[in-house]
Amino acid sequence: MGDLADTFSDWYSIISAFAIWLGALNLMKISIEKVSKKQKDWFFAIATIVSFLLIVIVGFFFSGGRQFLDLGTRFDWLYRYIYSPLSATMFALLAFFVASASYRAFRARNAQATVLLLAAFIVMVGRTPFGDWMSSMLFLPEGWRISNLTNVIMNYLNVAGQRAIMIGIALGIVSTSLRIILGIERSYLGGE
Amino acid sequence: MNRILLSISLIIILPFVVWLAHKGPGESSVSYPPYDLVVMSTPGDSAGSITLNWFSLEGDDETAQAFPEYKILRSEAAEEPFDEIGVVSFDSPRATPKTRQFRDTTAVIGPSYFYKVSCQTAEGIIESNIYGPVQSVAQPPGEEPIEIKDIILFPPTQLRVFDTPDDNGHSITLEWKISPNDIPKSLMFNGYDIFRSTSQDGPFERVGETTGGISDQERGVKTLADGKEVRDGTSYYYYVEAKWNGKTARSNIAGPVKSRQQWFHTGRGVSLVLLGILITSILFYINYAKAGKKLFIRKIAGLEAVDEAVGRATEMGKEILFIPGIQDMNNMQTIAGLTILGRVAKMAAEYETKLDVPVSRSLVMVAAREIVKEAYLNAGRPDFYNDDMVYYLTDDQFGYAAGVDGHMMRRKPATIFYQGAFFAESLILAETGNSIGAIQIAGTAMPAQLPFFVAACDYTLIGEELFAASAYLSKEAKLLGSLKGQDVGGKLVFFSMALVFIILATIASFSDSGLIAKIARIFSVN
Repeated sequence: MGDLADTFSDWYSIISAFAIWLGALNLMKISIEKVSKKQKDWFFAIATIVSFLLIVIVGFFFSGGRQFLDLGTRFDWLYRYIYSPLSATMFALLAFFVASASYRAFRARNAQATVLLLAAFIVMVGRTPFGDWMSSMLFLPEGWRISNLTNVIMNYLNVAGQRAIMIGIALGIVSTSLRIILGIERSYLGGE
Repeated sequence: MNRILLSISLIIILPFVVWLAHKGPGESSVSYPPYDLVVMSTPGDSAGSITLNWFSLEGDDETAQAFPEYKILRSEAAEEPFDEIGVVSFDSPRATPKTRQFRDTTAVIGPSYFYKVSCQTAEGIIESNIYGPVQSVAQPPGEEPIEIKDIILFPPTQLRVFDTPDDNGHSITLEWKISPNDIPKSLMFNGYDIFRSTSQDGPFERVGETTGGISDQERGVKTLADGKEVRDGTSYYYYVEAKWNGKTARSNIAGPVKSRQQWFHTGRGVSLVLLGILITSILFYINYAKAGKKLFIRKIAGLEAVDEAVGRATEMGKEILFIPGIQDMNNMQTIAGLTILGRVAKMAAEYETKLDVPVSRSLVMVAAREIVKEAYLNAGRPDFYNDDMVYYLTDDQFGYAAGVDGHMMRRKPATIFYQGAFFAESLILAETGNSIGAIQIAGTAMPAQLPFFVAACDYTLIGEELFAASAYLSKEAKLLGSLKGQDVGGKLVFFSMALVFIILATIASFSDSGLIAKIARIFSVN
């Protein structure tokens, strides 16, 4: 059964690899249509087309006889100096979005929100040296230091909540899988 | 009343069924008698001698100030009286921090001998196991002459090989009693090499190595699985070689052994029982619902708001943006998300609201197009459908997030659905959607992303609510029945059992009762 599962997994990977051309061609088709019909924001579509063609052409034809993924190729240069910084920039946005989401979410509107605010404060402060310094200034006993409270919140309360959610998720997946296997759920195939 | 009795009886009977299905750890194949005396002909000693090795008794360590001497006793038969041939006193040099050795230079080449070690302690005479028969053999001299004070490396013993249980073949497990020189944190012990051959006479090739120490503390053995190019059905022979201070010592040759595939993983009998209960419950309630019985499903705020969200987009004349996650069709969350897409697409078709579905996977694009087309057809609006409603962006995580963010900032949809599997991009998407003032309904089964969606979105479907959405929105009896079955057979039974075993585990931690601890361990996380 293990070999069979591996075989199916390999077939899935092969089909996915071919299917990516469907997506790529669809992307080009939509972008070219936007440019040709001068639809709204068509110049962004030019950026898409140029980027796509640049990567494909450089990767296929300008590798200097080596594998395009090898170090030192032009494709590698594009990856290191254009793609990676762009990706890192998007990832860096998370830091600012976390701050703005926290600012909105951690308000003491009601009892539950207040508990959330306190827990967030303890965890954030407890993860820094400042937390323990503050605890020592308040002469709190060892077990009541903020870093210990942080560990209690993360290792017991947080894990308990996550496990409960994951048990529910596992049950949901089994139930959905059974519905699909039995043919009760067909909407993902386009049926009712 | 019957259902209550059934549930109670299930909760009482089930633990016993699970206990029966539970496969405990196997018996150890090795033995560690007191002292654990091992004797062999001294390797490399051309004059012929026999070396004994045993583990020091408790109290005989490097920090002790005094300890009774060990008497070495020898006989030519296991039943005959044993004669004392030597002593190892407290201040004699140690073989290793935990073992002692003695060289019997009076053993004659030829006859077999039996040995044992005895010690007169404060608690009385403690004798070791009897080891033998051992013969002194004149061995070819080693590279350097063997001195009396030289420590001899003793081999691993009791090597046992067998097909690795509960796997899909191509693996053989070895287990052996570690060499007495294999002391924790020993600087001179360098682990074991594993040798294999298809014939008992060789040639043997080295197929692996491992570090020292016992790997299965409960059974007291060192184990290793050999999976290097093991062919099912081929007989193999193994031996294990200990490495210590530049010397090696071989174990016995074990075999023949063949690897093969097992049909069932017997260690997961408990999972099978629990899964069977869950499936039975789901099927029962599907039939129960098909018989026309009404089932109560609690209100899920996020799903109740779908109508309102679609209506909002219609009134504002803006579009609906639906994001089915960034995973492929082999992920259950994506399938759950697409079932919700079908419902949303039908509503959008009825209200003639524009719908956009940017996707991250080509196969998802193909499936989503079929779903949306079918939904528009069922709503009687096939003319409003356009293939470009569902379009592929990129497989790359942050490239996709950047593309969707740009779509949001330019087109400013009134309603955004996030239904599927998300990773780090979840907060980027949700915050951007929040900044344009859209109503956002999220649903994911990724526990790490739920807090971000809860903080940034108006409604969030948490975990199983995502999988329940299809049943909830369609109100079909069969689907609702499966929800009920999942709740009764799954949550009610599992959480009741969890409560029982939490209580047992708590009692076990305070009591010495091995039975309660054993029962509690069945459901421990391994």
